[in-house]
Amino acid sequence: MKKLLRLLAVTMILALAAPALSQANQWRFDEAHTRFFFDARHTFSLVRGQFDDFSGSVWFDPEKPETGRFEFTIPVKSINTNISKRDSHLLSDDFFSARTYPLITFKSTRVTPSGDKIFLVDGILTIKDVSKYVTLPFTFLGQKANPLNPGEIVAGLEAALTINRLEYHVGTGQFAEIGVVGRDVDIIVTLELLRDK
Amino acid sequence: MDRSLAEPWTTGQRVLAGTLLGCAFLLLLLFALNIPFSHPSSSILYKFGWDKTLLRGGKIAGITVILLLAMQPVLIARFSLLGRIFGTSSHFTLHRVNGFILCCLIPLHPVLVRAAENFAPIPFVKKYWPEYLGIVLICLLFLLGAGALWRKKIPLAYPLWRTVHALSGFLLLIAALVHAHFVSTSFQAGLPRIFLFALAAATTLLFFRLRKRILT
Repeated sequence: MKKLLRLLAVTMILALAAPALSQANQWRFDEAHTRFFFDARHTFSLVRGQFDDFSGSVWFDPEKPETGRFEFTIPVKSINTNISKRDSHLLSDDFFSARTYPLITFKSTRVTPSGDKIFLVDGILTIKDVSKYVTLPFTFLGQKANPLNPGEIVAGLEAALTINRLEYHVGTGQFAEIGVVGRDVDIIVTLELLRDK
Repeated sequence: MDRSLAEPWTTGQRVLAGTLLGCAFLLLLLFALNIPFSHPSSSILYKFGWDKTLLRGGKIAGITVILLLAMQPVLIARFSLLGRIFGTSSHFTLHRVNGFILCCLIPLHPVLVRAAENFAPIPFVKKYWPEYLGIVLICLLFLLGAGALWRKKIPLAYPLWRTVHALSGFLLLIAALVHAHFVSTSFQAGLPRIFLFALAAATTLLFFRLRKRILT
């Protein structure tokens, strides 16, 4: 009986530990060096903006990419293009309708390796009332002991993606039609991630 | 010659001077009200149709309020010219009427401007300080108006109330000019900017003219 109980206990411990063993490392954002940029064309020039506030979780191990998971949540009101008037216009119903749709989210569904240091992160990008499957092609920039804090490991990942903002109802197309604000928006995600050794 | 000993003006002279002064003020007002058309801010440029009209209307209301606010100290400065035209006792009546118009007009400014943005909330972050300064100023303007309307209910001696009222009024006007300068790109260059700076300079000069009356 004792042997049976011991066996049962060991089985349970292994069963509980198995997913943890197979799960990728969980990372936290180095918030000062993680950025969610976007570039949009204004008539001729390129306007770069970013979202100053974000949260989320990243589980990632380049050795076991299939166990990876990426989740980002971005409050729209943290939009910053360096001109406050433009920012408030972007928050209005002309673009993001931030009062009705305060968050932009991305939730990965699958991570697959694709060539040297490239990992395709498939997931659902939700902007306003539109959720679409997109693929963020992350380049793994490497990982090493944090030179500033030897107790940590730092890793870098970067991805770029172009979306048509009108597909996400960001604007009605009025500004695109008159040639002022382009339809295509380049999204650049640059992540500096930290975890304890 | 001592101005108090000068001969009083005839009715014809008063009407003529009053008309000229009224026309000068109207010209100034027309120039100010034309700013959203001649020097549209970037936010006006990006609006279409009804939203553009609402935004322009809101800006016109705001500019009118600033101009009327700038008139308030002029009306109580006891300028001999104004005394001759309107009579000395009517200064304060004009000051009160102007103050009443100001308080009636000021809500139009934020309502129309925000209506153009479908009343989207302004995030409470540092970069929107000119907008929040505007909200504070509207509250202060109402407080100032209420304080004048119900002065007798305020447990303050008249001279102290007058000092507080006048000082707050001057600060309010200067802060309103700061608000206008930073909240709208219209006032960041050219004639509209000169207009704001001229108003600020005139207000400062007026404060120095009235400082003894205000601070004693």
